[in-house]
Amino acid sequence: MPRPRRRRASGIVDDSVRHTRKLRHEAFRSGWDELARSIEPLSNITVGTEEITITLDLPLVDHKQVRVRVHGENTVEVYAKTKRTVTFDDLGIRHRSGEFTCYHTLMDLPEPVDGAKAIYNMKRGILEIRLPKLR
Amino acid sequence: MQQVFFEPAWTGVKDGDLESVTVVERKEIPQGFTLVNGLPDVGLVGVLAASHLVSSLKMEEVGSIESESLPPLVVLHGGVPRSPIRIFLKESLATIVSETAVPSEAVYSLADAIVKWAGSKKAKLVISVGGMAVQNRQNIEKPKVFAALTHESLIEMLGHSAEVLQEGYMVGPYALILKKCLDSKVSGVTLLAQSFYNYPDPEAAAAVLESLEKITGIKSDVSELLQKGEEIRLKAKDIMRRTQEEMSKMSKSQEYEVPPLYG
Repeated sequence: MPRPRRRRASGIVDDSVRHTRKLRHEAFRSGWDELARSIEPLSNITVGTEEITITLDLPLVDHKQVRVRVHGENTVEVYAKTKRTVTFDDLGIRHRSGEFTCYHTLMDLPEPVDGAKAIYNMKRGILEIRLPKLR
Repeated sequence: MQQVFFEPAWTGVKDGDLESVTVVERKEIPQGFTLVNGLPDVGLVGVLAASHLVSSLKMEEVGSIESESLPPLVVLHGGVPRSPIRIFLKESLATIVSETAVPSEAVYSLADAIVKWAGSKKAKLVISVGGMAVQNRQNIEKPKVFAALTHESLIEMLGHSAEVLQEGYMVGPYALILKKCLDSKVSGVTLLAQSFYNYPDPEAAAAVLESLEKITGIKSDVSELLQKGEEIRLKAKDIMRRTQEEMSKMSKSQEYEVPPLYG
């Protein structure tokens, strides 16, 4: 009988961090997380025959400030610093005092992917991530 | 205050449960206007374009659309509660803009009320402005504008401003408005700019406004819309998310499909 694979401590910590972030994400469905000073971007996942394509709308972001990380085979994390701090005041909202410095999201994928082969580019403020499916 | 009240024959809600939509005119709106509709849809193109018209032309708020089938919300402007769907006027141009996603179950009654009201006011032309999702939008520098019309005689009016959408499906409020315009003998045009599906698209809104200018002569400087594009996209993020939820309920993706019959 094969022995169960031992998980590295860093993997367990990663899972725990992701779980905590997800809980916080669920609690702030509006997409404006004042505590983390982050904005949940609009996103879209398209499943093709060979690959999964993710797009995210990232206005006010320079492409050099985008970080994409694939966790395991089914989760993608995107962090992108905004060019400037965005406040609710900038958006015409005076009764809230939040300010935001980045976009952040964790996305569950419908099928496993090969994260090592992920490629991404940004055009017209839209980040496109292409992830080959695992066969 | 003049109230115009319509009860549509069928609203798509529970059996026998008729929903009502009220068009409230807070100031007198003269007959014979051109009506521009800016309802939330693909890429929020209609909302962005119509809002830009309202602000750049300094249009006056003259009425609203009220319905129990809309979410129980008001929009606060200057501390004062306003209806999320309002009517603005400048000379012979009227514009309807919605600041909330229209629930799929309210679409029938809303479209019916808008067309009946436009007909009762002898509107010269009803123009709905919106987006048409294309997959490769990132690679399109200048979105093309397509048009659907109630009468072939309106094609001449289009000139080179838009290409006629020859075949295909339209889904959502603009589809119903156009069909109801046809049924009610009200001249109607729908202008759809190539756009993102679920991301606010100010460039597409600018393209549709340029077509509108060629057709009607209504001038609006779109440079601000383009310069402030990133801020506009961020500000419109939440209404886009809610609109996307409603578009899914309406099977909006059917617009990508090919109709089986010709002619």
